[in-house]
Amino acid sequence: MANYETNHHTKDADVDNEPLLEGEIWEVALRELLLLKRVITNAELNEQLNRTASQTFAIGASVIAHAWADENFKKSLLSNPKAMIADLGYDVSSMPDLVIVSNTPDIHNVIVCTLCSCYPRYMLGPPPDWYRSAAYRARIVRDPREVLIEFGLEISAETKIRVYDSTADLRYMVLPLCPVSVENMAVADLQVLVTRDSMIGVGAPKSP
Amino acid sequence: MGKKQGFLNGQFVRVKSLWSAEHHRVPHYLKGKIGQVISCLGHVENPEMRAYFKDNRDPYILYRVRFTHAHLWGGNKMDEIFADLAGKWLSELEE
Repeated sequence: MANYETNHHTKDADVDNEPLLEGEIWEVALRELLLLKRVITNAELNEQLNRTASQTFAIGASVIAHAWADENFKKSLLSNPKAMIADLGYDVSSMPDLVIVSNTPDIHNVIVCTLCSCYPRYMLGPPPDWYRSAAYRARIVRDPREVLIEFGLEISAETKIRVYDSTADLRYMVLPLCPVSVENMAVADLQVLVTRDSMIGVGAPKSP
Repeated sequence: MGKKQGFLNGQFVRVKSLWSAEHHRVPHYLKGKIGQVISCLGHVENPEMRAYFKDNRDPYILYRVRFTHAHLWGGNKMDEIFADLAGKWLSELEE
């Protein structure tokens, strides 16, 4: 046995030496059963793991860029997001119901799931670790202004902060305010300005 | 819990302050608090049944409810929190 107290390596390096949590034991048991009973194959499992890991916020950024570029699209998107995202050519059949909330000069929206970590994965990819942390989930509802400052986003005292706590079946994402001086920019160029954090409400889009 | 589930937009409601060890989708910080119904979101599957793979043919009505930051925590008069809550977890506010 290595003596961690005197060893130069930190204990955290060998994370897979930690005893499994209860949930992890369940996951291993279920996974091994599914493989053993041939419900899924190893190849299918790895394919799905890779697909999940490679998901990004690209769909979200594309949808926001279209909304910035086209006021009519934006109006329809806010009232019927799933249909309008499908119109752009995305297969939304497996996506949970989505609500897109629009920032205005008077209202800044922020998304959280205080109960667990509900997140619009289809649009934004896997959630960042901080989104799932107890600290973010507890503090963003209680001290939104301070938390946003820690993210580098200072909201004017005249702007209302509205925190959406995704407590039920709906997933939420933010339509950030369009940056200034982007007139006549192509959708593909606008898309580059959209950040993941701006669609959660904890960041601003980039400037052109 | 009460059967009354028809809340109107704009109506003030109180979140029931009940504790349940079973799965439910009501954050502790909203229990017992007063909010205002913003909109009715229609029927969804009842997570209190779905979590246990129970028969789930009785979906519940979901409301989007607005809580002011000042009411929940004091301080800021402007900020607010929107949460989606089941009608069964809301009660009418006595005038």
